[in-house]
Amino acid sequence: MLKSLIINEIIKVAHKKRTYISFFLITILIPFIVLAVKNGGGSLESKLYGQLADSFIFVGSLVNGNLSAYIIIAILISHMPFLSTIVASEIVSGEYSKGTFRLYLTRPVSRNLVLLSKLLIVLAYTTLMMFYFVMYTLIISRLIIGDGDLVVFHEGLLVLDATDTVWRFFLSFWLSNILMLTVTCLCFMISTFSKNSVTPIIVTISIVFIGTAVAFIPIELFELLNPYLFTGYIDLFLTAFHDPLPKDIYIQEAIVCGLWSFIFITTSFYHFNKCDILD
Amino acid sequence: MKSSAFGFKEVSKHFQNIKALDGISLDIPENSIFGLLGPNGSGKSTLMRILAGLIQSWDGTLNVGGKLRTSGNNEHLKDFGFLIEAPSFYEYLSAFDNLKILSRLMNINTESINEVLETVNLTDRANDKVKTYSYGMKQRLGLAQCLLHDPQILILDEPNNGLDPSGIREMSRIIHGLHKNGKTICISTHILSEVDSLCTHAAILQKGKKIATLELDEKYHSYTTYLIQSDNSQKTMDDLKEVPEFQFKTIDERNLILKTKLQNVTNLIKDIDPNSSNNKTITKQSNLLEFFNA
Repeated sequence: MLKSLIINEIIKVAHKKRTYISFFLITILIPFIVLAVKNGGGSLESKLYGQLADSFIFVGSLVNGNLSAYIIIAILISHMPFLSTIVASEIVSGEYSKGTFRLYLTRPVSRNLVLLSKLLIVLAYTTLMMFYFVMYTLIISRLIIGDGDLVVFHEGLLVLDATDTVWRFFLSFWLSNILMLTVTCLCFMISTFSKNSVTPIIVTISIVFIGTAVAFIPIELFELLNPYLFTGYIDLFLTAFHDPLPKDIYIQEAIVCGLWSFIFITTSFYHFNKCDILD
Repeated sequence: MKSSAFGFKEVSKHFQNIKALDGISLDIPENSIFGLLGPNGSGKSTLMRILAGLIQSWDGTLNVGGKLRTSGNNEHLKDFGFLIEAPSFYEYLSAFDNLKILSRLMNINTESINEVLETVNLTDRANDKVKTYSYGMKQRLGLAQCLLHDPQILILDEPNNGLDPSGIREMSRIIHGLHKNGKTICISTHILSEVDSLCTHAAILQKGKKIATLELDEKYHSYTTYLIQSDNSQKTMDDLKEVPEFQFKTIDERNLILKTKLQNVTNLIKDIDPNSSNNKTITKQSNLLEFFNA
């Protein structure tokens, strides 16, 4: 039965235009940014490494596809929660508001399975979108600017060999995806309460915005709270380019995001099972 | 008396402080067309939503095929087909794809989809997106989804709502056909004439309570009900009491219900007192009118 429900959800999601918005935006936007990085490479280089030029002699250019991908991901990652809510916000609330649950839930099918199929679809969508974002950025950057060693700041200047970068981008995808999955679960939970698809997006983005502010404002109370908030890990993907890797923090992220996701999912299921379909 | 296809026992439902259903007990006989009648807000849709599993928490029991079901138990749904209120589909999909989605939930083959589309006369438009359908076509598609798994019991919540006269005729033709094929059909409506023309049994709800149940048999159809609107109901009754076949029920000082087995009543009344100053308007009504104004 779960397989049939998942097939149904894939068909429903695949037929909606909004499903393709995030992929369309990423596909269009990334090449433009990469081209801008390529054309403004000299100026970017002097801004990034300007002071270091006094102490080091750089032979060749530090600006390459890997650096371009690293910078683009770092800049755009804070906007990805918005894209990750596009499908999750509508997948349950859309069926309430359009009245299609009156068709779907009058069949002898468990509400738990219906909701589980929807949850699996939104989690898969977010993962696919994040994978596409990271890998497409890397591929386009490398195609347009070319390969090369990646130079990042971590306890000084860290030069990562070109052959050492692909798996790190893959790790950065997973680190950011864990957080995005939690954001998706939050939006999914709000979608089970909401009768329209705009409210879940607004509420989710507001929570992420506040959480991110907590993460970046250096106040003692916020610093105490931050490790326990999933939003505190929004820039954790950068550590994929550190050496050695902070594995303890990765475990901490998995536990914190996992617990928040569990709370959001449990609440969704509890509410969905109890709620009356009156629209 | 036919055996019961399903029934409600002491079913109650509150929405915060509002009592939507107040201890409703009702048995729907097998192979009947059962009309659930009542004004807006009487609890018809709530009762149907409870049966459909859309309302999860309620008090009382459902009796389906001799098995008692309580709140949260939806196993009985396989025996039912539901059309609850306005037809709502995935508008971006075709009628066929909408039915395909529902068929996957019950392991139904493509042949059954084509059969129900034919039953509701939508085969020609099966591959068109539902958003291009008229309201009447959506209503027929609603009936098709209801029939998809060939359930013995159909629950239709206001199936004629929003339909034009030809749509209503088409819907009635389909419902009668299904009844002939042995289906038990429960229809909710607030239109009395709809019940008169379609139903074999009826129950009347008002403010969440059942106020009457009746069989729409030969005896029921043997008399006719008229509504007489006049300046003074009492005077009208006095004028007409000489006709022994007339039975009256006063609604208010201007409206009077007349029940009779006689034909051509309008002319008869005009002949009794042609010069009366008490102006009368006589309209033929459903026999259910007297129950509705109980």
